[in-house]
Amino acid sequence: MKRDQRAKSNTYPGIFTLLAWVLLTVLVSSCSEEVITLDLKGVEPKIVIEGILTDQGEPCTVKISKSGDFYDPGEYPPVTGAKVTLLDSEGNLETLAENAENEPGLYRGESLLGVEGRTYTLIVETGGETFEAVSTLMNAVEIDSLTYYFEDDPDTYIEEYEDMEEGYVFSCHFTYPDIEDNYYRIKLTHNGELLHDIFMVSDWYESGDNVEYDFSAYIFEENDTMNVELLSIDKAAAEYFSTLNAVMLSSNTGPGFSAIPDNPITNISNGALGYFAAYSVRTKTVVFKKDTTD
Amino acid sequence: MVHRLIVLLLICCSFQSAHAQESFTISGYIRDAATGEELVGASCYVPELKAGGMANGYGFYSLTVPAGSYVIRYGYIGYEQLEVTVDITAAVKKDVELTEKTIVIQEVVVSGKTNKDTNVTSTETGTVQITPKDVATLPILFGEPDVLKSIQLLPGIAATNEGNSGFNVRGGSPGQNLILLDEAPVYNAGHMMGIFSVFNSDAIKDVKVIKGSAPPEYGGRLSSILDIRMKEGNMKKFTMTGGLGSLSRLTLEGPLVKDKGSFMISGRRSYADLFLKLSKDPDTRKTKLYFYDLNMKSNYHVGENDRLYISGYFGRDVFGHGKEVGLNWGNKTATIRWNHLFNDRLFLNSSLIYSTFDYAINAQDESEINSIKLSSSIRDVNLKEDFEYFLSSKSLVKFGFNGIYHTFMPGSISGDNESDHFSFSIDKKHTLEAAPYIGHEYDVSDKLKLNYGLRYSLFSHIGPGTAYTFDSDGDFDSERLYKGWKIIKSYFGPEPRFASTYKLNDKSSMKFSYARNRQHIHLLSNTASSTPFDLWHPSTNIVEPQTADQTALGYFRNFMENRYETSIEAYYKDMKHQVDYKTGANLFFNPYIESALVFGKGWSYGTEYFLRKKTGNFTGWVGYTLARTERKYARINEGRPYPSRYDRTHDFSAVGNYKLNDKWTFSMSWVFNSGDAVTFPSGKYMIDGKTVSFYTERNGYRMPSYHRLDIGVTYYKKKKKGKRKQVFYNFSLYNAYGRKNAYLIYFRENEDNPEITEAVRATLFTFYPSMTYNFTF
Repeated sequence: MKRDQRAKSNTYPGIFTLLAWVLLTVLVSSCSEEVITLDLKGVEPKIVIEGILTDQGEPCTVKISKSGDFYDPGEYPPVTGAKVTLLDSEGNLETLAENAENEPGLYRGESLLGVEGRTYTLIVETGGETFEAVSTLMNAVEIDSLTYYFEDDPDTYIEEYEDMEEGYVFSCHFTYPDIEDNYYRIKLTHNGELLHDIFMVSDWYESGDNVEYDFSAYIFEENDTMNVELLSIDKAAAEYFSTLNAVMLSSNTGPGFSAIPDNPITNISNGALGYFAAYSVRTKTVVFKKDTTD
Repeated sequence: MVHRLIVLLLICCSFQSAHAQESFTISGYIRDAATGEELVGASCYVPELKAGGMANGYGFYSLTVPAGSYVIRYGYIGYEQLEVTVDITAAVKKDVELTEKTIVIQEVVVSGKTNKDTNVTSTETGTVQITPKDVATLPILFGEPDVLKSIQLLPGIAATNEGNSGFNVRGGSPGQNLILLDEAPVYNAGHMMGIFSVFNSDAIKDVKVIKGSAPPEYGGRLSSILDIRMKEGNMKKFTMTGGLGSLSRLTLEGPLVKDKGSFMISGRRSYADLFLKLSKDPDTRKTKLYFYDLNMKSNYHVGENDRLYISGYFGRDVFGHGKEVGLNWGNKTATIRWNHLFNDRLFLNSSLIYSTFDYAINAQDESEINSIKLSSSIRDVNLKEDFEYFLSSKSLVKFGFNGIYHTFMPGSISGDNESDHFSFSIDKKHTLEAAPYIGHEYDVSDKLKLNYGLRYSLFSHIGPGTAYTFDSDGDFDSERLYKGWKIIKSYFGPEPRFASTYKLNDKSSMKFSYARNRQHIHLLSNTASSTPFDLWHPSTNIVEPQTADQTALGYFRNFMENRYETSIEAYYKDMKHQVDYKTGANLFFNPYIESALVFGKGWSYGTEYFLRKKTGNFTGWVGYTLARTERKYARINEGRPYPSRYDRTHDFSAVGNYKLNDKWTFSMSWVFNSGDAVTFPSGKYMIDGKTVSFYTERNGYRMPSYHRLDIGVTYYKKKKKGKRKQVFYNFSLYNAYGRKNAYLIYFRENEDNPEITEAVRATLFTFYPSMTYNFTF
């Protein structure tokens, strides 16, 4: 199997998703829905850790909270007074401080910053338990360009855009670097709102491949601002984000059309939920303007 | 164990032949007088000797008795009994024709034994035989008679999903059922994601379900065998039957040469899509959504001792939207069979079988410059040799061989864009399966009957192909290329089978059976519903064959001169090398799919209660199953056992059919089952500003219990004198009291207040009426 040929087939998941949804719609068209109350078991609150360290010159932030029962209103009690320690592979160490009054449960570092190629260890001690996670900050991948054009007859499978008769479509270009075990996450923000979050697997590409990620199913208007963040993440983070995505999908469609749901695969030890990810990120922004050259 | 079995078998055989001197054989075919169709499982019985036999899968019977003059009684359910006096002083060839009961008469009380008590006397446990006629008037969703949906009403067999023709047997998964159409395996038995089965009732003669303890001539799947035989075609006259309901159907059959050869051709097509064309919305007009299937069969008596059959199935589902998107899938099967009688005791069936399932997806943009095509398939070439040697009226030996060459094509993609053409495919996989077998049906005494034997199964994954290995994280480790016909990995092992019946008295018996089954190909599906994207995967260096050992014990009793049959069966099934997949695994178009699989074990046990009335104006049955099915995987649910998704504790069904007079027949079915095991979140938490469900255990919850009443009425228009045309209408109402059963339950954030999460129950089909029009010329 030739990998350069595989790279070009990255449009297929879109088609498959489209077909699955159309078939689902056909079956569910004769379907009626009703909100019901299930007798769900109560669950001992679990520690939820969300740790992020980027290469953008900002220190590490760690958010610690607890899970709630399914039918609880959305209150996730912050965990205060935890001891949060960050270490890097160079032997540097820092204890993250909490501003318990203004931002309970949020722990920030000060001096220890994210550097490409280093591996970081996060240790959280709270309630007599210790949770640990390791993440490697992968080398950054530059976004070469964001290109767009005006489409007078756009083709989309996303319901919200079906009524749009014309508009701007765009794609993101980057060059696949020479890094082993690199994974990507692309976050798309439209006028400040998160629109799309996708994951890509490294071994689809070979170094030097020009990758075009096509967002043509999204249709935009003039003067809309698009912000693209390209995150280089390590394997554990990729596994977490992609299984998180699968969980979100399966709890929304039910058992009929998706896999049996399970918790995302976390890189945190000792049964905590959430993740710790160190990653590099590159950003580009584009504002759609009328093409005045023709 | 194996050697001892074979020795025992040989001893029994030689013992039999030593005492078979002075005896002669009467043999022949038992047929339907009106159509000439062979009656599978019809019985012949010599009251004087208390000896008898059953016609085999091709309607052939053979009885060896001491010389003399005997009354022989032939019978078949729903047919008039026939008594013939025969002088047997030499080998006798006797073909008989039985007449179907047309007039409703008070049941003749027959003393002694007839075929009517096979429930009690046969050695089979967990086996049910039905004909499409038995279930023709049952109310079914969308009104189309469907044998798969009918067998779901039997104890131990459950529908995988609301309105779906997919089924699971005794806690097995749908991929553990061997579905045979004229001996050809059918890999995807559903049209329209399983809403209709691929089996056209008009083209089917006979259906046999074996829930696990199969005799040695069957093998290859763990859970069940569903053996479906197509009609051979009327030997006497041309007939045309057809109907119009949710589908349009037409069947033609007739003699090629009277009483020597016949043909049958039957087709169906859904036609609801024709109405899409009338839509005002141009988008809807561009939508294509339909299926069709075609069954064909022809047979010819080449000579006194030879008969040739050719049959085939071709079906296709088509879905598309203009020129932009197209999706189609379907099965094709072809069977060539040759029946040969070496002498009046040795019968051979040879079959050469071809079967394939494939799907293809096409998409292109409006410019038609960018296009992409995906396809996937599985293909079998299959040779079967089945001998039946009728040693005596008490002893039948079956032996033979089955060899299958499988080709798996997991997927290929090709396409064009502005600059070039591209293509990519996952390696094909080739495997060889072979299984010689021998079995002996032996009446030890009036009381004790045995059916035992051995199947030896051999399997090889062969080249051309690639064997992969993965490290403990599931990451690619190495690959090794193999040339054509080089063995990559082989597996083999015995499958002992044993079944016995001990008659307690004329009305009741105890049965015991044990069977081991091995399964070399695995159905990987990441959904509960059957979809064309489910993937068949062979055993390889990483995936081992699945095995199951099933033991069953039953008590069978008939009441009121065999008008009522009852049975209680208990079973225990132990399954090894079961296949599941890791969380978030991508099964679609993944060359390293084996790294996404996990392996574990399972077990299921239960009891099944069955009461059936087969004759009279009122027929029907009541079935109840109490069962448990669990799985244990090191990597799922923290290694603790958990209920399988097919675990259903209580399952009850009642089916009734009342023939009021020649014009009106009423039918009903009521099902009740406790909810299947399901995974629901117990808690929730916040990540990245989004609410995420928290799961504490696999399948730790139950769906709400399910119940539903379906009712139907069939009206037969009075036949005009001298006219052959017969017309009947069937009206049915699915879910007649509008129970809101949960098809699925999903979870979402409340629209007004995203902080509140809620569970939503989706319901399909309440008060769903259907009507079909049927005719026969």
